[in-house]
Amino acid sequence: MTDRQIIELFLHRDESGIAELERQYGTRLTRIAEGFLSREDSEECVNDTWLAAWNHIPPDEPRNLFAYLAVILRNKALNRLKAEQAKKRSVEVVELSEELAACIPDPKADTENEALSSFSDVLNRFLQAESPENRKMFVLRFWYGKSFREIAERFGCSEAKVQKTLNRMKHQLKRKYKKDRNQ
Amino acid sequence: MNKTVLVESIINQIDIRYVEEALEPSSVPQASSVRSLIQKPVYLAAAALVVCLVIGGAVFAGIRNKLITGPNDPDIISESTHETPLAERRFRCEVLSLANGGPFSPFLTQSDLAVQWGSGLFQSQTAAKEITVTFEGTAYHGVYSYSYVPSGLGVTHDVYKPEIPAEGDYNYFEVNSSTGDLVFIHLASPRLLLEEKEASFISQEEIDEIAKQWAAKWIPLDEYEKEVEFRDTQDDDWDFYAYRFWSKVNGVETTDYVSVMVSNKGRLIYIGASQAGWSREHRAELEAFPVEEAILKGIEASGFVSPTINVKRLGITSENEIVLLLGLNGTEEEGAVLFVIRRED
Repeated sequence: MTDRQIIELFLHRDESGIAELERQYGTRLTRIAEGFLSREDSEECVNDTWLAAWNHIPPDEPRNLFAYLAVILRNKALNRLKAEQAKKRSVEVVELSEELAACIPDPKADTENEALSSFSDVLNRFLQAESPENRKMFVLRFWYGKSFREIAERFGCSEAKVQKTLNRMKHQLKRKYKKDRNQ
Repeated sequence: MNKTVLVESIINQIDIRYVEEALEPSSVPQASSVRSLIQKPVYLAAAALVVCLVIGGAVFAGIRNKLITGPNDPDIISESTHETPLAERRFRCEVLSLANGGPFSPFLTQSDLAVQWGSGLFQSQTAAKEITVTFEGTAYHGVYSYSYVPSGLGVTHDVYKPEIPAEGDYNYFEVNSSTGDLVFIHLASPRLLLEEKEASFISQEEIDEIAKQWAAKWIPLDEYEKEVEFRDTQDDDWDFYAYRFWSKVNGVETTDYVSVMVSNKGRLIYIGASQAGWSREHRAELEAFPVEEAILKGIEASGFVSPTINVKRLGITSENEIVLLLGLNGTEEEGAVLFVIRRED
């Protein structure tokens, strides 16, 4: 069943749409959830995601259904971490946002929507041009909120190397964004 | 919106492909991660699979060259890599339910094996309004909801759901509208089942006849530079292995992929495909989507678990339908499976 057909089921309030959603994307979303949470919590989080999708479609009609679900799931997962008083992790998420915010010039210069749109575009093009290993490090750090140590263990390298790689990428990203804005 | 919220919004717009990619194992592990790999059977299995693919590649390439042929090739019908005649027309099928309450298939019959592409929902005037099916000794009563055609061979599935959504331990089930056989049930409650079920099968003559019809429309694919990237998504906590293959056409990665699921006993239980991200602009370029290569690699992958499956015939039709005839052996009984994958316009 295509994404459009699933969305049509949602628009017609046909609950089989949820089952189809689970059938189509359950495994992939669970895997992403496990990037944040324990297996048990991941299953609950994915179920919360189905419910949230049911409550938001309509009025939402996502163009990329899986990406839409993944963002819901990420927010649910982060909220769950905060709710469980995983202070270290939630503090880290804020720190991460500040870390990446350094790459973005003062948003007052643009409207916020423009800043959001243009930087997202630059960011994805930047990631596309990077090597898969660097890209994974970046996404693990900023999307999944992994620590330097966790990333280093995953790649079998030192924490220093991870920090160095990510710092270099942030500087390059900032330069690329500035360059694109000036063009 | 403060800057932190803005950044969070930006992070949420990171391309979903990269989000999934980040969870894949590192391709260039260093010494410490090699040690880590050795401690993880999943990665070991994946590594062994890669080795199997490399070793098997050369042999398989020879087979493949024989399998993909031009239009109206009269030899294709008689060509087979299956050494043993398929005297037995029935085979034992494995019923798999996932621990998370996911779907399973009492492994389908005939054309129901085809992948769910090009389907559309509709209300059938002839479908029974209510029906009760029995599975594993439990009766499931459902009320007719809708029908759809999941395969390229035109068999309709009628979908039934419980009258009260919370009733029973299933979400819905599907029956073959022609035969009334249960072909799919989606359980709502977590459970893990692994049983043997018998499924009737069409005769070899019928398969040959269908294959002839498709083979008459096969077209060559040689002019496209095709590449398939294997991404392992197997999970050692479940009783199946899932292999996923992304495709590239002329060096451009598409968002199409093929999933091949194999039970831990080495039986093929599912081949599925996604055409997410399709657009009209890319359609011309994708007309020779290398899904058949992905499936071939999936078959190889299944051979890693247990060498039970071989490909008898393969082709793509001018209507973008990929036909794959498989032989299943290495088990007590034998059978053959015809897959048709139809691309959606």
